[in-house]
Amino acid sequence: MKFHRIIKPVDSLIFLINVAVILLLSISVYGGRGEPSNVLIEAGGERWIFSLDEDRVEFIQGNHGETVIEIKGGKVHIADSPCPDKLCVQMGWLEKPNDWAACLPNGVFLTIEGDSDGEIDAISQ
Amino acid sequence: MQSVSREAHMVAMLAAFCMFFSMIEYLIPKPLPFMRLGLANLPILIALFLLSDRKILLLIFLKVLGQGLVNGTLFSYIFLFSAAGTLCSGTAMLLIFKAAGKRVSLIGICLAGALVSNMVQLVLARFFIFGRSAFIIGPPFLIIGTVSALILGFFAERFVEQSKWFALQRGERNG
Repeated sequence: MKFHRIIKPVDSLIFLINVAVILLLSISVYGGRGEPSNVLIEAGGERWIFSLDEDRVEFIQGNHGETVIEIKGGKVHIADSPCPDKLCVQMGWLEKPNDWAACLPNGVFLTIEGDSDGEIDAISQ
Repeated sequence: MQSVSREAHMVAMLAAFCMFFSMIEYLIPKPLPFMRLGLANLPILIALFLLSDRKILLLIFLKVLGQGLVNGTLFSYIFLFSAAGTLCSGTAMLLIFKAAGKRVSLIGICLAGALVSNMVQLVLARFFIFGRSAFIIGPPFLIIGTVSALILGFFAERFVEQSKWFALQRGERNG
């Protein structure tokens, strides 16, 4: 029942490969998501793109009024919207690529663009 | 002629054990449906020492079928996942066993099998169902697979060392 007698060299090699695959996959999935770049806003057939790096407040005209979108410290959220339930406000801050929020009653859609796909694709091929 | 029929018996018995272990595995509660302990691979690990390459491939094929029957996934898309995973990992285990010989134990074989099976299933999940988000569960999926493969491989190695039944079968095959 001695471990060093049971475990052979190739075992260790395979174990290390296992750990390496897990680490690489973890980094590509959780770490290397790419820098979030732009905020894309869509409303009433129009599109706006703003940089996430620059703090600002935008008033977007929707079906029922103005949706207030705030960009601050590399994050963005819907600060206010003329809808009854305020679900869009409750969706909170977006910071990663492909995060999104929407105010359906007012017809405003908000998402973060970014090239997070490259590294994950490289692993899967 | 005698040895051929002995080997055929062994295939049938190990295939039945695969089904049995699939059933045990099916009974164990799991947090996610496609998380596997890989118990049903135990007979394949033992078969590496007892059967010819072709018979091992036959056993792998039977294991896929038996597992599909036991889990009730034989005619669903999930079957594609388990079939691809088992076929690839079974082939990988066989190749490593042949290539490394005495430099590898069943622990390493089992680890390699789990890794290949899980990676194949992740890649399939990425292309056919969930898209890129499939990889988000990748790391915990692989970690659980690695841990259970270590335990299973260790158990299999101990079994091969100590089982009198195994020693008898192996002796009859070689001598």
